[in-house]
Formats: sequence, C-alpha cells, structure tokens
Amino acid sequence: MSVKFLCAIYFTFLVVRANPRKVDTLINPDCTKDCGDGIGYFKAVGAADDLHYLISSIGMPTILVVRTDQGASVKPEIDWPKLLSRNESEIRDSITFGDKIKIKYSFAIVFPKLYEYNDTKDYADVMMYKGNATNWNIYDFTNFTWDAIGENSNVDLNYLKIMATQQLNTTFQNGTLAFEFNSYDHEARQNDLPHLQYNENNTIIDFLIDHVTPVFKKSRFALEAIFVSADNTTDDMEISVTTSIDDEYSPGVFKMTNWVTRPHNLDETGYAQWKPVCYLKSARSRSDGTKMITSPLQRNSTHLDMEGLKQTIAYAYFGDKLLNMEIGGTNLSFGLSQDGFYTKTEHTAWTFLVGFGDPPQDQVSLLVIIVISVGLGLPVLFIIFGGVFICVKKHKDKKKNEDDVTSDSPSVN
Amino acid sequence: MSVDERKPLLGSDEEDIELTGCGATLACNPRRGLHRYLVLIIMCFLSFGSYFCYDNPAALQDTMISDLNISESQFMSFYSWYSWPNVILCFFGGFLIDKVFGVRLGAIIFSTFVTAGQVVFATGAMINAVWLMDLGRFIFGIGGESLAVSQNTYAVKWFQGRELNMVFGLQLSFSRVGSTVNMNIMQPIYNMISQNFAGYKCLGVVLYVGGFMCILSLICALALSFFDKRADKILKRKVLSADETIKIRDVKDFPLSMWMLCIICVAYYVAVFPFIGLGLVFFEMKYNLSPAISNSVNSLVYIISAVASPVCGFVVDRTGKNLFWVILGTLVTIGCHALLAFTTITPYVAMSIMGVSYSILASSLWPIVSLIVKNNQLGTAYGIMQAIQNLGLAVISLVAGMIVDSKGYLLLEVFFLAWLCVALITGVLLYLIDAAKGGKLNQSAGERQKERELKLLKEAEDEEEKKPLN
Repeated sequence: MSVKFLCAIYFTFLVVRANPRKVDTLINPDCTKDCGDGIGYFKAVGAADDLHYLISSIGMPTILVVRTDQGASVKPEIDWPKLLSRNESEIRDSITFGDKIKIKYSFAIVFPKLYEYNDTKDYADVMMYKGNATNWNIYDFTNFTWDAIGENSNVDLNYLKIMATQQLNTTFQNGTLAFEFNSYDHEARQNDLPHLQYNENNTIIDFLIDHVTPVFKKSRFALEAIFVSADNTTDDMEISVTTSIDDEYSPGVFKMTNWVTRPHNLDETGYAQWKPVCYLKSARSRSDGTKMITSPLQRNSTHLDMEGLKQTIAYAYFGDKLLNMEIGGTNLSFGLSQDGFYTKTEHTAWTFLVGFGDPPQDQVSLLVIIVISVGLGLPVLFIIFGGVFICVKKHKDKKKNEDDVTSDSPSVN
Repeated sequence: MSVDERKPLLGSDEEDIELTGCGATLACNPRRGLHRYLVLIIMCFLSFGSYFCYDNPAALQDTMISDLNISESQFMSFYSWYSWPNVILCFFGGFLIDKVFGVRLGAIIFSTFVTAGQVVFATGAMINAVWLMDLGRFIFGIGGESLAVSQNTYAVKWFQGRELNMVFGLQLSFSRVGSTVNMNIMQPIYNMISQNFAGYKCLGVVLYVGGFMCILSLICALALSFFDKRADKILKRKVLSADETIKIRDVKDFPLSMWMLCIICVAYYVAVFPFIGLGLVFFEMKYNLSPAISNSVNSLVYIISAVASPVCGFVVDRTGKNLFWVILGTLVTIGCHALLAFTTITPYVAMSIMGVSYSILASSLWPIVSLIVKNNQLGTAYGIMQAIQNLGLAVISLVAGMIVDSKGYLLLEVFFLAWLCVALITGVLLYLIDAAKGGKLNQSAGERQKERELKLLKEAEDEEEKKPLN
C-alpha cells in the first residue's frame, strides 16, 4: 500500500540530489623543480562553486579544503621553494588563490601523531591511560619519511595516496602507514564495508596501518586529528553521534559520527564523517570489523600541537590566522576489548569522509522497506483477516444454532 | 547390559507384588509421589553428562585451538560433526526406542554411546589426532540427541497426566545447568591439571574428566531402567504386544496436529537460538555495551530459562490450556524481537522477557506431543520433532549468518520475526483445528483431570470384564 508512495519519495529524492561536479586531479600543480613530498590536488567544479582539496604529507598529513566561486582559472598558487623551506616565516602564506578570487569557506584536517600503547587492561581506549599508566610510543608524523605523493597515486582514477614505509630513528618498523583519497563526481556507496555514501561534495579517505611490527605485547594504535575552520568562533564545531536501528549498509554498525564545523548551518558546513568501525583484515567483512572510539572534542588549543601545525600546508594557506581560528582535536582509538589487539592481525583500516555541505545520512533502503512490509505485513494481514473470518463464522454458527433452537422449540414442547 | 535387562529385577515373578521393608516406604513405592520425584532427579541427571560434554569445546575454545594447533574452522567441525548427523539420526533413535529397544534399553545404549564418544574424543586429544576427535564427536552425537529423546519418553511414561509440563521444564533447566557448570569449571580443571601435564596431553586428561560426567549419566540410565521395570510390575503397566509396536509406515499416519507442532517447534526455535549465536556483536555495537556485559546479556535467555522453566511448567500444569501458553509464548517473543529490532530500549528488557517466554513455550509445547500420539509411538514422535528442530537450527544458523553479513541485523531481526509469525499462525490454526475437534489439546487442568478419572474408571471396568477369561 504505502510502498508505492515510498518509492515515489525515494526516486524524487534521487533526482533532487543530482548536482554533478566535474573532478580533476593534479599532482604538484605548478611545481617545476623540487616538490618534496608533493601536493595532490582534486578540483571539483560545480555549477555554482568549486571545491579544492589539497592533500599533502608535508609537515604532517593534511587535507585542506577551499570553497571558491566557480571559475576555470581558479586554482591554488603555490610557492614551492618557500613551502619546502622548513622555515615557518617562509612557509606562511606560501599557498594562495590570488587576490581576486572570492574564498567562500575553507577548513583543514591535520593528523599530527600516531600513538602506540600497550593496552594492558584491554580498554581499547587511549584516553583511559594517563601519564605512565602504561607504555607508550608516540610517533610524530613530522619525523616520518613519506613517499612522494605522485609515486603511489593515479590521476586518471582521481586517486591519491600518501604513504610512509619506514620512519627515522624509532621503533616504527616495516609495514605501511597510508592515507588513500578518492574523489568522485557522483553519489554512490563505496564497494567495501562500511559502505559510506560518498558524493560530489566530499572525498573518501582510507587510513591504514598494515604489517607494522608491534612494539608491545598488547599494542593498539590511536590517531590524533585536528580540525581547523576559517570561522570566527561564533558557531562552535561539534562531534555528534547519531544512532539508527538500520544497519543494512554496514552490518553490525548502528552509529554514525559527524564532526561538523557549523552545526547550526549544515548546508554550508565543513565535515568529517565516519562510522565507529575499523577492520582487522584487508578483505573487509563483518566478522573482521572492530570498533573505534572517538574521544570528546578537545577545543583548548593549548593542548594541541600548534608548533607542528606550522609545518603543514594548512599553515601555508591560512598563515598566522590559523592560530586564532576555530580549532578542535580528538583522539581516535582503534579496536574493541577482547578483539585480540593490533597484534592479532597486524592490520587496521578505517574509512572516513571529508567534505562540504550537509553530511550524507543513511536512508532506509527500498529493499528493507519491502522486506519489512512483506515479511511482517503478510502475517499480520493473515491474522487480522483470519480473526475476522472466524468471528463472523462463529457469529453465524451461533445465530444458526439459535435459529435451530427457536424453530425446534415448538415441537419439543 | 541386555542381560541385566532380561533378568527379573526383583527376583520374583509373582502376580501381585507385596511391597515389604524399604520397598513399602513412601520413597520406594512407585504408587507414591515421593518415589516419582526421586526418580525425576535421576531422570534429570540422565542427560546431564551429554549436555555437560556437548559444550566442552566452547568452554576450552582458546586452549583447544592453541594446544591442538588447529584453525577456527577445524574447531567448529567439533560442533558440525555433532549436529549435522543428528538432523537424521535422532529420528531413527526415537524409532528404535519404540520398535526395538524400548526406552529402558534405549537410554542405556545411548548413554553408552555418549560415554564412548567422549572417551574417543578425549583419546583423540591425548594423541593429538583431530580426525579421531571428530569421530568421537560423531559417536557422541549419535548418543546425545537420541538420549534426549529417551529422556522425553521416560518423562511422559512417568508423569503423563500429572506434572508433565513441570517435568519438561525441569529437564530443560537441567540441560542449561549442565552446560553452565561445564562453562565454569572446565577451564579451572584445565589449569589444575596443567601442573602435571602439558599441551594436548593436558587437554586429553581434562576431557577424560568430562567423561566421568557421562559415566554418571550411564549409571542414571541403569538405575532408571531398574526403577522403571520395577514400577511396570508393581503398577501393572501395559506391555505392548508385537503388532502394537510402531512400523516406520505409521509415521505418515501421524495426525496433522503433530506436524503442525513440528512447524511451531522449528519456526520458534530458529528465531531464538541462531539469534543468541549472533547476539554478542549486536549488543556491543547497537547498545554500546562492553564485550563482557554483552556476553552476559546474551546468556540471559539461558540463565532465566534455567530458573523459569520449571516454574512455568508448574503453572501450565495447574492451568492446562497448553495451546494457549504456546501462542502466548510466541506472541511475547515476537514483542521481544520487535523491541530489539525497532527500538533502542536496553536489551536487558527484551532478553529477560524472552527468557521467560521461551520457558513458557518450551515447557508447554513438548508435552502436547503426548496428547497427540499414542504412547507406543512417543519415541518416534519426539525423535521426529527433535530431528526437524536440528535441521532447522543447522540450516537457519547458516542463513542467518549470511543475512547479517550482507544486510545487517535489522533484516536479520525481520527474518526472525517472520519465522515467529509462522509459528504464531500455525499455533492459532492448530488451536482452531483442535477446537473444532473438541479442544483436547487446550483442555484446562480440571477438564483433563475429569477425563483421566473417567478413563481410569473405564479401564477398571474393562479389567473386571477380562478377569473371568483368565
């Protein structure tokens, strides 16, 4: 009955959603000589605006998102020698979009550190250990040696990858640590779990720690993330978790985390979105999924690594404004108690989205609606009609009996 | 054993047995309730060993995998070697009880199988031969499920028309106690023995300890056989003549209501047990519970049913109206699954209520069989029901795993709800069909009692008529 109606809504929704962008990928735009780790660049050209994603491991892994007016000539201007100078005063403002371009909004996400800790109590939450409560290794990404971004990326597929295979002077050995970025010009779901819904307004990112030799017997990892937004701090950023009863897209995962910069203006917000799940094997399946925990948002910049930030492309773009912008940080702990620690499979993979505008929301799919209406509707109908039928029949029988009795009674008497 | 069976157990073959000495006391007189209750205790321990040993692998999962150096799937084979053959075997087990062995010899034979299977399993561990362990589980399975059928048959034989529902509830709760005890003591036993033995040798020794529980059950089977034979004589229970025993063809003449009962049984059980098998992750992820707490929520159904089923059985005994309770149990379970599927209300509520509704259903459903089929076909009937249930559980567990992996828990819950609806509809239909025939299955306790008295009276009259012929 209502299925048709819901179908109509569903298709209307699809049509309204269509708002295509054209995505182009460049590696190291305008770089002629030394490009260092390099910068990958997605340009998503829309009807009314352009989204520019700059991705680099210079300093620390950073994704910088700039929304500008629409225009073929709009592109970042990068002063490569200054950017690579390692000198904070040189790096400052070495990335611009030119004076004439109107910047509508900009924000960046930076990953400063990776924590490896000995989870002796099996909390699977890095925040549960204070100070010397357990053994730590803190890997500062500024000390990592990263592959040049062009080496592992594929421009034609709009695919960028920053990757470190070894690190200087510490115990982070063998294995791979990588961020993989995919940009699309349409809306769909990723093929792999957790089947996040990407669209033309976001970039989908896989983070993985693969075959790194664990230092501790009960090693787990946690990743620090910092979100900076070019807002004066009137609208506070927040991390919110929504719970759904529907887990059809990512079986066993009922929650969605949204980290938004403008919670009261979701049409024009910057966001990172993920489901609290990460995977212990490269072939992802439900049974290889485990949890991840997002620590409460840390908004006090004194706890955040501002010096490290000054090495990144975020500083190169925002300059000293960065120090007064809206900022927040969190620690992402991978794993769930009793899942056997990182040591069990030596693989952790986590997927998230970074984008602009209203964060995608999971809709109950047509399939589920049909299954529920058929699977439960039919039996209910059966019971209702059966019940009515029996009541009517009983009533009739009773009436008939009464009639018989009344018609019989004279003869009996 | 069979020699024991044939020997006259009381040493005399007199027509009317005068009970003397201890035999005449309340505790030993089969005409008295106290004696029945004492026998009931033995009856409960009859399958204690098999339930205890069934979950030995689960209780020792981690140690077993590391000691034997086997994969998860090799480990799971210990369960599939038990369950898949029983999709068919327990039907034949039940049939053999009716046709060849009788319940006494059947119980002894099957508990011997259980014991032998456990010994082979332990020996396999002792010499680190996984194939031998699989064989052990297979032998153990042949015994285990059919032993449960004998237990049901015994229960009906001793308690029909009396506290049958309560007895079924109690047996159910004992099976839970058996596996719970196993879960809690096997690892400590392993730790104790590991001081003297190491690796798979230690595992072998621990499993031999499990074998002791089976021997205890075997002793119970022997004791039951003794008391049952004695009671047959004293109470002059009817002995079946050759042409009264069941033929395999008789199965197709089982009344429709029997098959509907099987449908209810399978449709209900597949919505409960495969769910518990997949419940851990569901509670962790949907309700944000820690693994330890999820685990306790998940086992709530077992724990509550262990306590509640004798009580529910007692209530069903007092009220009668078995079909009403079956339908009620199914309805309440539907409510619980709906809570889990469509709300985020704490799962403690749904799982606790499900524990009670499962107890209601289990203690009222199984005794109905004895109202439908003749006593000489009971073993076969229970065997069939158990076999169909095993088949359903085995298949639906696989399907449920596939559904949850591809489409998630919401659809899995809908799937279970649909099965429960099947059970509910069948239950209602059975009620209507039965009502049209006079409502024998849904009699209240009072009506049933009256009918029984009438029947006894009639039998007594028949006896009177027969006497002159002798």
